[in-house]
This record gives sequence, structure tokens and C-alpha cells, in this order.
Amino acid sequence: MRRTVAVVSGIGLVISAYLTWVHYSGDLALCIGVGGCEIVQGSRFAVAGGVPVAVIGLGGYVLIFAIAVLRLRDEAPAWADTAIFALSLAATLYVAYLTYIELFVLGAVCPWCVGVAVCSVTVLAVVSLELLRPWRT
Amino acid sequence: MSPPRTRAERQRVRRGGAPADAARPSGRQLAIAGLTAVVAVVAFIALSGGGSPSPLASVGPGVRQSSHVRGLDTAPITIEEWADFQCPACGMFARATEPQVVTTYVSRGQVRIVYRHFAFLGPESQWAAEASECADEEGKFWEFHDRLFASQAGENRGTFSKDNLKRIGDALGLSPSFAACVDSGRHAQRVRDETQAGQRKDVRATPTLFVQEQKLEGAATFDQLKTIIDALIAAR
Repeated sequence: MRRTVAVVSGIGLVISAYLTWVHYSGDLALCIGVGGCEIVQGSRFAVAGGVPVAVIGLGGYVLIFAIAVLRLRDEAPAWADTAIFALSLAATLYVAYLTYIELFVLGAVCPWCVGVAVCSVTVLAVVSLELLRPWRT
Repeated sequence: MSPPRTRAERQRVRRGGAPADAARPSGRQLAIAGLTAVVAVVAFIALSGGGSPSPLASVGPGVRQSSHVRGLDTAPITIEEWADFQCPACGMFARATEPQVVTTYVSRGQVRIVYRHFAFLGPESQWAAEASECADEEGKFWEFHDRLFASQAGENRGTFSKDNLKRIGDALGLSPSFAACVDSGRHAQRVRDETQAGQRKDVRATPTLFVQEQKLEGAATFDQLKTIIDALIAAR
């Protein structure tokens, strides 16, 4: 289970890094008439509190991935479990909000953002199953 | 006690250590961490201005603005911008780059910016462009331009419906004839003609800028434009 979390959070990290690169490369600062990403990443919702949402995602996944790798060690501290649970819950809530904006405000979906959302939900689900299982038995 | 499940648990048991469950966070710890995460995300969304309209571009006082032109006719350098009011990249340019160009160059009479319609992203692009021409009849093209780019929210989803365009005009203090103008469609052909003129100039995407003869596709940053403009000024 911990390996699954590490792999999925690694995928999330790679996608967020790509989205951050796209944000700063200016590749989407152009309207060509097609593509949900140009609408989503060019929208006013792509920056929150002066920080690009892509950078927030990258920062979050750097933390989640680092903790997921730490948890692969046999003597991983208990705080790592608590931290990855809290971070993946925060990530899931935030991507839920962003997906709502995509679907119901912008009416456009960026597949890469959906990828990050799927990774967040998966990490939260696997971590929750792992941490909650002892109390079920 | 349940048998050890994970590698860590088995190794701990073999070493005579405590089972891994003992090192797991308690339900209380997880509940506190989860609650903290929820509060943090909700607070961040609320405080980061999620969903609030973008700030209006501010060009400052003293900048001459006439129909589709910001700056003096005598300015030696012209930036011709081909844009669509629904295009997010045009919004980025209008909100972030253009005010800096105006402050640094247009206000000093070195540059003028000319806006050209390239309304190609759907019916609301066409209606918004027509409405900007109606606003121009009352000398408020640029105010309307700034307001549209600050109001973007998706494409062809009603943000720039004719009713909403009329509301934006009302908010800017335009006269009742503005609404009649929007409904009349009397600027429709002009917008279509200008878009076709853009196609003849090989405009394919927005924003497309022509700094004198140099073509730039996409929302150029201020630094990119500064490099080009400074070189043109130095070459004069």
C-alpha cells in the first residue's frame, strides 16, 4: 500500500511539475480556439492569492511524495502517517474545488488537471484504507 | 493482537520491538489533522479571492485614449493587438502586461497601442466585440475593454450574453442607446470584416501583437516587449 502511495504521488508530482512548466513557459498564453487547458490555465482561477495554482500543486506534491518515500522505510515515524493523511485530504478538497470551477464556472476541463485530481483522490483513499484498517478489526 | 501484516511489522516483531500498530497515529490525531486540513483549505480558498472578479487594468491618468488607440498618434512605435474578448490569454495580456507598457512607454509618448478585433472563439466573442463598438460610440471603448477582460469566466457560457453586456454598459454609465445598439447588431459586419482582415494578415491565434512589423503570438510579457521596444527606440 505504501508503495502504491509513493508511485501515485510520484505521478502527481510529475504532472504538477509539467503544469508548472507550462504556466511559466507561456505555451498556454495563447488562444488557438481549441483545448480546455488554455481556458482553465489562462483563467483568473489559475492564480490564487498571487501564486499560480500549478505551483501550489507542485509544492503540495513535493511534500506528499517526500513523505510517501519516507514511509517506505521500515522505521518511518508516526507523524509521517498523520502528515500524508492531512496533506492528501487537503489536496483532495482543493482539487474538488478546482474541478467544480472547471465544470460549472468555466465549462472547460483540462485533462492534466484531472490527472492531478485522480492522483490526489487515490492517495487519500489508499492512505485512509491503510490507516483506518487496524481499527476495523 | 492481530498477526503482523506489513514488512515493518514483521521485522519489528522479529526484532522483539513493538508492533507497528503502536506507532500508528491515533484516531484522535488523524481527526485533528483532518480537521486542520479542511479548515486550511477552506480558509485559503476564501482568502485567496477565489471567484472574485479580476482587478481592472489601470492605465493611470493622463494617457490619451481615443477610438481603439491608447497613446498619441505621434508615438514612433505602434503595437497593434489582435484580440478576442473571450480569450483568457488576451485577458492576461490586458491585465498584466498592457498596464506596464502604458505606464512605461505610452504615457511618455513613445508607444501607442491599437486594438483590433479577432473575434473567433464563438458567438459571445462576436457580441462582446460589437458591444465594445457600441461603447466606442460614447467614447468608452477602453473602459468597456478593461471591464470585459476583468469579467472573463469561461467561453460562450453566458458571461458575454447580450443581456450581460448591457449590464456591463449600465455599470459603466453608458446611455440607454447603448442597449439598443447591442440589440441592433449594427456593428456586426465591421467586427466580421476586421476579423477577416486579421486572417489576411496571417493572424491565427490571440493575442497576436505586431510591434511595428515584428509579429508576436501569445500574451507577451512586459520584459519581452521591453526588449523589443528599447531596441526600436535605440535604433531611431
